[in-house]
Amino acid sequence: MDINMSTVMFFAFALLAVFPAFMVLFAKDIVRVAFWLLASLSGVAGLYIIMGADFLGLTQVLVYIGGILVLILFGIMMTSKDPLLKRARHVERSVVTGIVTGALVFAALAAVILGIGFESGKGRADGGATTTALGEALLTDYILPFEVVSVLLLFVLCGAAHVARRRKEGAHA
Amino acid sequence: MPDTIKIALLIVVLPLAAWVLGFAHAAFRRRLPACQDWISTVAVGGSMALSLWLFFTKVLPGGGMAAPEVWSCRWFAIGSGANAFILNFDVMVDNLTILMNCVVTIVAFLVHVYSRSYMHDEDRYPRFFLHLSLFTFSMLGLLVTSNLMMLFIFWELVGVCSYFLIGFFFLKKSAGDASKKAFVVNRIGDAFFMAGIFMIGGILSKQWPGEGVLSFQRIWESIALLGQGTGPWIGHETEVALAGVFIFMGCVTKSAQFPLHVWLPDAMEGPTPVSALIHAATMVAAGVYMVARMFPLMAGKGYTSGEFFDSPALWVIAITGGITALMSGTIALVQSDLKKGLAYSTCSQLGYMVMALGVGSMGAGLFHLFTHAFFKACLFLGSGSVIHAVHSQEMKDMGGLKKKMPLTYATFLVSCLAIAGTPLFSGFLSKEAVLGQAAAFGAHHQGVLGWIPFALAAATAFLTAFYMFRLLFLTFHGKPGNQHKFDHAHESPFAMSMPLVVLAILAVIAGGIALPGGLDLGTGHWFQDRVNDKVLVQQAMPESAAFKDMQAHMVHLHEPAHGANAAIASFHEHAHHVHAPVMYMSLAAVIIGIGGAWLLFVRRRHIDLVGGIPPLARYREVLRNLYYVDWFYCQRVVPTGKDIADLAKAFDKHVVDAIVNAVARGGAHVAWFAGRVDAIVVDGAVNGSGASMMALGRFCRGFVNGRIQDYVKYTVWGLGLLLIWAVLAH
Amino acid sequence: MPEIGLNHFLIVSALLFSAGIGVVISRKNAIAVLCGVELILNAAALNFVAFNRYSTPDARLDGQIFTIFIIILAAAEAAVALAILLNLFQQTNTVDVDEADTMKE
Repeated sequence: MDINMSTVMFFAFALLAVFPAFMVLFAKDIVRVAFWLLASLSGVAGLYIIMGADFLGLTQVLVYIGGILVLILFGIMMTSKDPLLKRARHVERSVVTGIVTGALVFAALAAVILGIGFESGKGRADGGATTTALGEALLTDYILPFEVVSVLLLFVLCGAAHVARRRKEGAHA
Repeated sequence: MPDTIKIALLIVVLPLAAWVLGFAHAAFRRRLPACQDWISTVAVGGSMALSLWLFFTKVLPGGGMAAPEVWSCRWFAIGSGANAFILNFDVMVDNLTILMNCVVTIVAFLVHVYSRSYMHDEDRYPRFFLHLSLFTFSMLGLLVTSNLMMLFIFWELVGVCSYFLIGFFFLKKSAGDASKKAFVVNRIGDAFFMAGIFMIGGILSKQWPGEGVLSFQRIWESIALLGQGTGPWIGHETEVALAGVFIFMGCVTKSAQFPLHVWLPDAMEGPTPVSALIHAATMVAAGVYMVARMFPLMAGKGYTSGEFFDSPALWVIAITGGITALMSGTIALVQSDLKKGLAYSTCSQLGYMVMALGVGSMGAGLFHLFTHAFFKACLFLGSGSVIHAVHSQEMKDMGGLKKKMPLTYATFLVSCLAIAGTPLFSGFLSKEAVLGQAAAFGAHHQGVLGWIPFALAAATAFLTAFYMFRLLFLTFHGKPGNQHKFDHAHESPFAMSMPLVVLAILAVIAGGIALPGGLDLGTGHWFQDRVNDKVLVQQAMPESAAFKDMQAHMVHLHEPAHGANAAIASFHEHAHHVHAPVMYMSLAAVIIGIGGAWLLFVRRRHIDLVGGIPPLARYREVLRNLYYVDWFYCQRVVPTGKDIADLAKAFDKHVVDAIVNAVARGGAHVAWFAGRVDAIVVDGAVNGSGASMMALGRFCRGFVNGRIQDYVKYTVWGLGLLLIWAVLAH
Repeated sequence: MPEIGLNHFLIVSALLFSAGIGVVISRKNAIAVLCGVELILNAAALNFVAFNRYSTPDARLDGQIFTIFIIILAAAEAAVALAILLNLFQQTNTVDVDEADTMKE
């Protein structure tokens, strides 16, 4: 059996991505959910790197793990009365529903994927580092989306700050 | 319309106008005019003047009206074609009508005048005159109509006026009860009367269609045809007698004949002028008048041939009248109430009249009716004058009033002499006519049975003189029964004494209308010449061929010289022969009656009859209790009626109601079943569709619960299923 | 075992997506739901990268560019979502999504 390094790596990272993803589904404590998510995103980052998307993998780590997850943790801290000591007050919705739905969706997707049978083409197998190419592409072909996204980010931050502001006592939206 | 008819209708309409005037005033002003007495009196005075004018121009000269004046117009028709039941307004004026009009209007006018004084201090004084006007109108209408249906209408109108006037003092319980009694008792006879009318109308309209089914002329003609063996009554001979008896039942109540006379004495609760007008002179005589008009029907088949002396209806009439005459006369012997004594005397005299009709002598009956109206009205008004003076109706409170009230006494005496049948007074002629006819009837029958009416009448003749003078003596002679009342008694004012005088004069001379023909009752009697033959079939339908034919064979009832008919000839032969004995007997009756009364009540000053004649004591209670007739009604008839009513009620309750309830219950069950079907099937379908929609709605609402996650869930499910389907399909 | 190929990544992506869907549907905590959304986005992004790696001719990086945009959008989404969440918490004192089923207070 031809077991090479990339295969092991794939399965390792795939496991790292998929198992925590399901733990996100099953975990009771919201803080644990956040950390299972961290693990899952890390796995995804690994998968990116396996696929030669080194920049994306790093970006994943930086943005998701360093940004979004911190943001989520802050959200948890600000909204949970006693996030560390107590479990979620509310009984979770039926996990079975989630599992059934997830299974259904997976069955559908798997049916599509396997039914179509995508060919694994040559692609850009060994493209080397992608940072240069991405930077060129962003500043040439994708300059307009890039700028739009920049403006979007600006608005999003402003809007988020506005929405999340503490209201005056008695004032209503 | 002939002039005579116009005048006759004017006579009728004048009192009606007075009534309408007062009624309209009451309707618009909420009270009667204060001068209602003048309005009514003037109206009836006009009627009287017209009646007298008719009398002097039409009846008095010559032989009176040769033929009745007839006028009619269509009232209504039921059905159409040959079988239509056509009823007309029929007006007929003949000698009898005019004479009766005179009697009614004269008495009514005098009563109006009298009442203006007598009733003046009473409450509801104008209303009294309103009622009097309505009564006068009804009575006159009853006389001019010649149609049984219309006669019945006026018959009921006078009945209701009688009811109003008897109960005029309705605050007094006895007056209210008396008016109700009169009304209810009259309903009995009216029911029979109506049945008789329906019988005649039914048979005539079916067998003999044509105009004016119930008109007198048509009924007379039908009887005339029956006498010839043709016409509508052939095959219905029994119904003729039955209808006659039924119609006579109307007379029995209206004219207070045994056994339905009980209402008349009680009717004395009414004001005395009312007693004089309605319950002595006019309304109670209406029954006699009606039977006289229907005499051919009562006589039946034998009428035209003159062989009607065995008619069953006439027998019933004769016996009823005779019994009434005698029975009321005996009761009058023990009455202590002046007006009640007069009331029983009226009953008795009405019995005379009815009996006269029953023995086939219409003329004698009507003649007695004619004379009786005056002297009985005079007696009642005189009693009213006395009552007015002493404020009591009891004779024990009277006595010795002769000196205090000479005018009243004189008129009372004249009237008593008249009613007793003293020669030279009108009552002598009329009473003797009745007695003579009754005796002729007995002689004609040549058997004991035939003498029954005469025996009853003769006994009554003695009694009449006796009890009338008992009343007179107890009231006016002797010592005052109540000194206090005696001291305050006084002669009545002119307005009250004037009618008494007029009536007393009439009581003397009214019989004089019989005189031109002499005292011979057999032939050429003035009254009978004008009334008897002329009202009969002979002239009834001059245009009819059947009549023309019949007229040739017609027997003139009072012209035995024609000798065409053995029965009539025999009857008149007998009448002629019994005439003298009857006259002597009548004179004897007067002398014995008056003398006896004088002995008992003046000489020996007995108040109570029994004190005078001890052997009568055992009958006193019977008489006091009015032969137990009222007792019988109250104790036997009324409870029986109540038992029948209870039985009917029980039947109603247990049978009719049971059926009704069963039907209702069945209906309820059906309704319950329908309700269940409705509730289960129909409502089930409706509710089921509703409920299913609700359930669907509830089911669908579950998807739209506002939770975004559920929306996502369903979206994903749908998408997943679509994808799977798409893949599997390829 | 065949060589690792496109389908392997797609299956992993499908698993992540399924897990994300499950989380989004079944969790009551809004933050957990947000995590589920992140999982779904990552699954999508992983697909882009995988197709870019195995199916794109030449050496183009369009898929990765898209992934970059997805990450950016994910960050923006997370920021806005958390802002809304904080607002919700201020209003209702809870982050239970079932409580937030009225359009206006």
